[in-house]
Amino acid sequence: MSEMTMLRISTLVAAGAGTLCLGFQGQLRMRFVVAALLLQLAAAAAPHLLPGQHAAKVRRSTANVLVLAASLLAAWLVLARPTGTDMGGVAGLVEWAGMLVSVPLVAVLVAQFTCADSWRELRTVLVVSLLCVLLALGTAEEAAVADLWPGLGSCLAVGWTAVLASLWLLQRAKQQQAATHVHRGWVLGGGFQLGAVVLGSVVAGLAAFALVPHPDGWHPPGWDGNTTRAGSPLWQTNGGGQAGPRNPDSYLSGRMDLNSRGDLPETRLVTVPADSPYLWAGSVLADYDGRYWSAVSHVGSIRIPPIDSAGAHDLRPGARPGAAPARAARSDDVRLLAANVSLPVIAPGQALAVQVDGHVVRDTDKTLTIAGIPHRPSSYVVRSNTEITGPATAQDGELPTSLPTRVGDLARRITRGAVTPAAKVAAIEAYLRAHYRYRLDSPVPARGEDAVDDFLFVSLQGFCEQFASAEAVLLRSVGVRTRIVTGFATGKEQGTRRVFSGTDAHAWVQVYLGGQRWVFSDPTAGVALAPDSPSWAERVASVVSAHWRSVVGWALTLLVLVPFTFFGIRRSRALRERRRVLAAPAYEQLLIAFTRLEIALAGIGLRRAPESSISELSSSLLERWPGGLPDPEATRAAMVVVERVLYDGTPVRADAALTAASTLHQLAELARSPELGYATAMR
Amino acid sequence: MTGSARPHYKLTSFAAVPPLLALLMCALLWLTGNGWFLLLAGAAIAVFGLGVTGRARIDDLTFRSRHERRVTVGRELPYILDVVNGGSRTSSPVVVVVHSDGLKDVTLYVGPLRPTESASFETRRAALQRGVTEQEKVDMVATRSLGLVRAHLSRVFDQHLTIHPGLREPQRDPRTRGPAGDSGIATVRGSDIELFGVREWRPGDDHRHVHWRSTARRGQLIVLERGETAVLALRLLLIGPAHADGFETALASAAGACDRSLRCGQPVTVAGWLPGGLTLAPTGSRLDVLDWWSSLVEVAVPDPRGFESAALAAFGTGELLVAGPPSTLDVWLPAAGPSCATLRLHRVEVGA
Repeated sequence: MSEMTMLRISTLVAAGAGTLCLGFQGQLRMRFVVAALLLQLAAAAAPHLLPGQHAAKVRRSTANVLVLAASLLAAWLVLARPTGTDMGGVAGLVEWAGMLVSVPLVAVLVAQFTCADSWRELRTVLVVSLLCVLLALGTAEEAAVADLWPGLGSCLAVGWTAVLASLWLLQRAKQQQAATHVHRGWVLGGGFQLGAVVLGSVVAGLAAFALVPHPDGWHPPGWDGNTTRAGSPLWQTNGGGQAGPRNPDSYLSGRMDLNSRGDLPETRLVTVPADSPYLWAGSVLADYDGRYWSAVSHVGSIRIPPIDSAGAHDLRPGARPGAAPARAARSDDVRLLAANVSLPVIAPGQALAVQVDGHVVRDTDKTLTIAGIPHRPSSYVVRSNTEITGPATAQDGELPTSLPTRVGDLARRITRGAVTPAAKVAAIEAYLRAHYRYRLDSPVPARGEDAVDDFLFVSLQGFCEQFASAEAVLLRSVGVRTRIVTGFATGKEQGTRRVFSGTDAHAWVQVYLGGQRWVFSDPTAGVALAPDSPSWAERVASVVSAHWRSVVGWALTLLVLVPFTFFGIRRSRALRERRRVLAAPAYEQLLIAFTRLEIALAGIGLRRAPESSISELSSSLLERWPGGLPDPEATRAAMVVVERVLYDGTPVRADAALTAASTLHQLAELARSPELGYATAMR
Repeated sequence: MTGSARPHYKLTSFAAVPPLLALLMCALLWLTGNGWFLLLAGAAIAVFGLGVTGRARIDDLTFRSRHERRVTVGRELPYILDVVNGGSRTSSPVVVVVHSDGLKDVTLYVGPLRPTESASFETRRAALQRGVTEQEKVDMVATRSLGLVRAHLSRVFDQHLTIHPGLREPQRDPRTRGPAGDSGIATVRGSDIELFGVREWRPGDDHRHVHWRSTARRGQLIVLERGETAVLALRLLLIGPAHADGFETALASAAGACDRSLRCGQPVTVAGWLPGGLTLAPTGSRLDVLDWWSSLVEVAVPDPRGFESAALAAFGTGELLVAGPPSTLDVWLPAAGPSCATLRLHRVEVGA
């Protein structure tokens, strides 16, 4: 069996595997796949069944018609989709594009086989087969390799082996075509190397698939409907693995991002009485989605009217002007220090009323803010209860569906034996303090990973946000309702006042004990610090470990791109130059003109002797042309060009070749004129 | 057999494909987040790594050629090349280009040969240029497995081949009227009654030899030359320079004239003006003389002033044919002619 025959068979296998991949992936119906496979088989046999120049033309015409018909069919299939079919989203787009592309691709495969007379055409078959595989894989759901076997996976394995075998055979066919004499030797020689390449590449591919983390892929901003997320057109910066900025607003604005990192500013924000409790609450957040804590939204912001002329505002739900003031356990004077920072109303417990020379607004996220016309007031008095009461809602016990089950398993293991909510809180607080370390620059979870799960099982390090969130989620996992509270803690005493700076922003947990009673729980207090102030080597190591994929990726990219770009530019320049100087039509015209001239010269007795060179012919013409050459210089120049083309091998510009061809044509015409005795001589 | 011991490796343009494919897969992976592209990227990188790190096993191949020892330019030489795998492992498929000075190159494909297995190629190689060659060179080019790397290895092996010049008949013998016949007997200038030809009158010509009818027709004095039948002895000198246009043609004409004279049994004295001075050709058989023509490499131009004494020592007095590049003869003959009183120099016209 010759190499070309083996090559045809291997390309047929590769094409069949590519087509089957499309079928298994659902881009093509299996009936269509079977028909395409049969057509490929028939087309591969066509050059053998219909040999000859005329048959080749017929086969080519058939191939063109086939591709055109398949393209029209694909377009019709796409356009004739039933109305109402969901074409939105990535899945719809992929299905649409797959249908539009896969049918013509398979048609091209069949068409190429129909007229595959050379290894070049078989190479095209290979490329198209590879495209089929890519299309199938690109639209495949990501799943374990075992899940895809024996469908897409087996086709992929067979197709890949066939592609490599075809490339191997292509090399041999190419080498044999370059030689005038061929000794085929042992046909299977080198097969071991091919086997090693196939096996090695499959193992490497599987290893890469199994070991290298898979990215989430790029989605255009707003594609998933969440237009509020910031991000560049090329990459969403707030996706997993990317740390957002951290500032006091992220604690007090009614929304907390567990992936935010960075130092808080030391700006002095607010002062409170020195003898007040160490926790001052600002916002209460109940909704957790795996990354963000947020308050339950309600429609629009509400301006709370004062209940008296002194500016007292009753914060109890449903309170109306003239209502009896709430009974508060304590009253504290709060002074705002940073005029440009918008802070919510803070209180050392449950805020009941605020006395302020301005307005109090309950925002959409339930956060209370103070506003004034024209200037915001610089202080207010807040009346509050340190004992928090109120009903718990279903929202306070909800967990995201994406939360891994191991979080719940861990919670149940920790709270085994604890019956009451207070006992469960104590167990979880103790567990967190014992097993986790405090670190402000803790690792950011990978894109798409649950932040609490990542803290509990991956990074084991975090700060107040992670500790509070972990306790809240663990408690919710065992049926205890919780909320996250953001505000300030500790502060710095200055005489009778305590100053809260940006660095004092804090998050803790509000736990429902039943009977409309809530208590604060701060799991961060008493947590041991993670080894801090790492050495420069540790910092480098941490940066490398966090970004090694990017570093290695860029290094590899540069390593590959730079030389190959250089090579590509050089190659394209060389090809362009070659095309310019070696214009085949010009060469052909020149040689045709020279042949015509030689025939004409024989007619007037100036035949070139077999051994004489072109320059000798040129001299002979100059001496012996009847009546003298009309343009000796042009003739000599044309002969020089012919000599270079025929014997020298030096590239000749296309325009020079065409000029020389024109001169020789004119000379041949002149030689054929009866005045020079052409007709007589020929008789 | 000599040559470099190990092949030189060079990436082919096809080697760019697997890394580019891997890059494409990575880009698709980044865009789509589909891990299957990671599988293909890893496989493509592995193909590149395995493809470029392997070695071609062509250094154990040995070559031997079998052919005639002599051939003439323009003829084809029956040529047999034997290739043997002397190694202990199967050789890689290789394209072999055989170069020999003066012979047309031949390109062969040698498939994988098992240990001690041999391949024999029988072909005909056209002789293109005269000369004597003692060595042949084979260039082996092997593209391993998928063709990502090209291995190149050259080997030189001994062989002796003499390529004789293509013999050409001189257009005409300048000493005779018309071409000399195969018998070597021709009409030459002399004092017999036989007419040799007409030419323009030169000072010193006898007025009785003026041919008045031709003089009247042409308007200038024309004299008749008498001839006589004689057996010609060939005395021929080849001058250079060898790199000038038309040298090979002149050499072929000179060799043709010489060969014809030898075949006719005429006395032949042939010499070339080599850089060391005038060198006479061997006086043995035709083959010896043809081999001598083949061996000429550096041929110089003699100084016209000191030429006569050297020529007299080699040829004696009388007629001497001079062959050489037309451009040299155009200049050299007018310069040397007047200074050679005892020699009559004639140009060998290039013939078909």
